[in-house]
Amino acid sequence: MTSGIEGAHQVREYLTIYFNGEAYRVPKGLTIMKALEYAGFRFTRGAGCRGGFCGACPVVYRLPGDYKIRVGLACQTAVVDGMYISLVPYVPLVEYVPKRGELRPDPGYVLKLYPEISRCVSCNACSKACPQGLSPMDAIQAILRGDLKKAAELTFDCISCGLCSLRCPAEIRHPPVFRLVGRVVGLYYTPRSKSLEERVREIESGKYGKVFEKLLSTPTSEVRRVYEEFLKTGRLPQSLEVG
Amino acid sequence: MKRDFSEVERSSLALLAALGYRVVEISSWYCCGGFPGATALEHVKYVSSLRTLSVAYRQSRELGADSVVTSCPFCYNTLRQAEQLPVSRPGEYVRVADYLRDELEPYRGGLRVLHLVEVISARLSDVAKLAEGRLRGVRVAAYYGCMLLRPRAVAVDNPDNPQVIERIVEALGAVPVRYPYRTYCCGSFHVLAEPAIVRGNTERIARSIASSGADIVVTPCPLCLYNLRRYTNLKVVHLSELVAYAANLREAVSPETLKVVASLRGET
Amino acid sequence: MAGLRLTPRELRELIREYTGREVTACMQCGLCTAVCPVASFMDLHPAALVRAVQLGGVELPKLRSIWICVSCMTCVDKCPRDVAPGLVVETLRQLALKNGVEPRAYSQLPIDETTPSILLVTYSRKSTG
Repeated sequence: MTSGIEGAHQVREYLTIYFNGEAYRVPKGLTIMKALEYAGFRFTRGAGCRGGFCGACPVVYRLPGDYKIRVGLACQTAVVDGMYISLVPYVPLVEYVPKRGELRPDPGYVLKLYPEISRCVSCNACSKACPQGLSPMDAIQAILRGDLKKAAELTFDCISCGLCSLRCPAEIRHPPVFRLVGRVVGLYYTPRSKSLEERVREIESGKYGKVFEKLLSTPTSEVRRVYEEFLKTGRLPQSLEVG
Repeated sequence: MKRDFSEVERSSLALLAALGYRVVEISSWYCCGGFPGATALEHVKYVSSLRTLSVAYRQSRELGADSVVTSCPFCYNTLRQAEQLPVSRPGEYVRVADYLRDELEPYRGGLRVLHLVEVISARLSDVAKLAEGRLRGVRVAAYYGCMLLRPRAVAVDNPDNPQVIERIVEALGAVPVRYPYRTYCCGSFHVLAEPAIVRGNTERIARSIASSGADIVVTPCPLCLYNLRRYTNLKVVHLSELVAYAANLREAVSPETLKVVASLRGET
Repeated sequence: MAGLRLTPRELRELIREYTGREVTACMQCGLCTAVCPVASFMDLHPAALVRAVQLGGVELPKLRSIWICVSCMTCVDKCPRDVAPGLVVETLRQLALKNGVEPRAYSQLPIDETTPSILLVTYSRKSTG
């Protein structure tokens, strides 16, 4: 048990959590991540944005008197009295990362790389596990039906935490599948961004080359001065204007 | 089906529309997995079919529909067995239904599961009117495969001597030819890992068909179609495509089938 | 693989529990083997397999027949004694899969873009857990 932290005397209510089989007293109202740090642990792996978006901190837990195994993100889930917690910083998912030119807008292509998709029994354990509230099952079924666009749409918010794959009885590797589908759909179906293409053309034509070289050869202190000047006046010195 | 055999979907839908049916795709359906669980060890294999039926039932109440129709024999077999599950194997049904209860109201019965073949054969005189004898004189061998006939409890016709496709062929004005291996398994999924089995079985079927003097083979099963086309040089078309062609719904028939059938009509 | 070491009686009871069929009823008429479309590719044809189960002599990890059966259900419908060899095979297959025996991995299959999903799905159902 630990308690020494600055301001600890202001904490009115404590509760007990169990982490890897040990009990810890922690203040009420913390997230699992903060509670564990309060208890003296340091996250060297399995913590990222701390804002519920990067998917690095999946956690599985049970609550007292409940048979259900629950899942969430350590940075987003508040501790509850009597919670049993285990962190899942990493789920082994072998991923194929084809080059852009190899991507094909064909569901058969996805099935060829990840044939285990065809093992889906639509038990929906994945959707129950998803901390983002997505429905991986529907996306997998959409791929089986040949509807990649629907699958990409359904999994746009996937943060690749891997909890679905951990729960899947068919051992489907959802996050890499969804990344692949996202890439295929992005390449073949999503409208191109005209302004982005224009800017890429400009860069390729060397329009920004001179300015860029100048910036690189300028000492950091000078760059900082110019930047602060820019914040104040909204103007760049003549030498850095793109002509 | 949607992905690899879209021509079957297209022709089936066109055909059902021509027969005056209103067909609505189930809002979210799940791949049934091809084979229903044959033993109590496998009740998990009913999850997807019962999920599909549950969604279908909910939707059918909104639409006033009473049947689920599919053109895939695997789906038909699995859905039909799942539909019978509450009666045939109540213990397993309860376990699956209890599992699904978290998410949706489990299916309790009330839908008819039909295969396209049953729908067509129930409307033979209308099909004959649509067909206007376009296939007159063509000798058609019907190849049934397994999933529409076995097990007996879900068979669309007498599994030992089925006649339903022959009757459809007759309604189209064509001549059905009968041969011994009509219901012999083509080897199914073994084409993936044990191709020798599929080669052996399809060749046996092909010899039997050849000796019957048929011009063309018609099958209701996309996997049989795939296997027969792959290992034999028979002219094989899907049943829904042949009927759609005969009913003059050419825009719904794939170019290859059009070519096959057109060459026949030139010959006969 | 403890689940694979069953006594003949345990195996018979398991089959009865999961399929409702009684293997001891088999009288070895051989109709199942006669109608089986893949019997010639099996190491133990259906009737022999049922006999082996009666006598308790199946070695599941080595048995090829359970992966060769295509579940066409012909023997199930024809069996005059209602033993349904197809369902016996199915039970053995599930038993093998549940104990981690699989015929082969996906990496050994010739899967490409044109492999129909219906094929992958049915193969997966029968040959993976």
